Amino acid sequence: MENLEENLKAQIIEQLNLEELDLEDFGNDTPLFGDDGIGLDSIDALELIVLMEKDYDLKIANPEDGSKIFRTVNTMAEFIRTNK
Amino acid sequence: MRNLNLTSWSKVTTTGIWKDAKSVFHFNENENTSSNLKQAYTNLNLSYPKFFKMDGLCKIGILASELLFTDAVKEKYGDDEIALILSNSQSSLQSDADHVKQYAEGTASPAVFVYTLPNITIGEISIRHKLLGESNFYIFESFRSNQLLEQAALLMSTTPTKACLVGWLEYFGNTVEAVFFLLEKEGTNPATSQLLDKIKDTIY
Repeated sequence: MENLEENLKAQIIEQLNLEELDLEDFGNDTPLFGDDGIGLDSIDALELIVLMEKDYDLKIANPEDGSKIFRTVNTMAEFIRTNK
Repeated sequence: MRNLNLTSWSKVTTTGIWKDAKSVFHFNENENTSSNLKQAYTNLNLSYPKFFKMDGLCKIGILASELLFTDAVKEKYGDDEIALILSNSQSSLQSDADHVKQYAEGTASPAVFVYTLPNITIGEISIRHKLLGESNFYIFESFRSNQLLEQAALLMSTTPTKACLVGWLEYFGNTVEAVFFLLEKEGTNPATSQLLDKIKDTIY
């Protein structure tokens, strides 16, 4: 999982059709939601849940955990490393 | 009763995009529809990344409406004075089919599911242009220009509506067609069903 963060960024761009974003346009600590970050919305959040299930076989049991897990690429990577 | 004028129209087909009978963008016949719509987005300088998340029906609706809702038009009217009346015969069938396919394969995508209603197109256009006016989406067997004109006239006489975009848009399989008409009270080009039919049926 050395390149987990980079893989996650690439998956986010592809899965969410963020065609105007490049890997270098956002960092591992850039907020994924809100005006300060890359501005994902609630539908994107659902797509991220699907991504976690499909590509990492991880289910988000409690939806309220989503806001912490999907805060940044780093928090997503941390969740994967902790639960895999 | 009507006193409506056709002040501008736009058209998206499998071969390109037109505004008022003038070519705006020609599609590359060697590219697929998705690539051509992306090229059109770039060519029209849309700068609206949400476009890429939309389904095909919304994409052609956004492109067709972009040509009609110029700054001049939007400055002329309040946000509740522009109405949208759209129609088609196949509803959101492409997104419906995409969703069913994904569901059968075991992983349905929320981003696809949210487009399994045709009136989402009206929502996307309204969000893009900050419109708060009246709106309707009809499923007809075929293009009914007379009904669209009657409905536009009704909205203009009973609501704050002063301008109305009416149109037809279809996106399923090999069918790609959006024909939008901007109707206003002011103007010198009376909007008739014959005129709308002729524009829709003319191959450019």
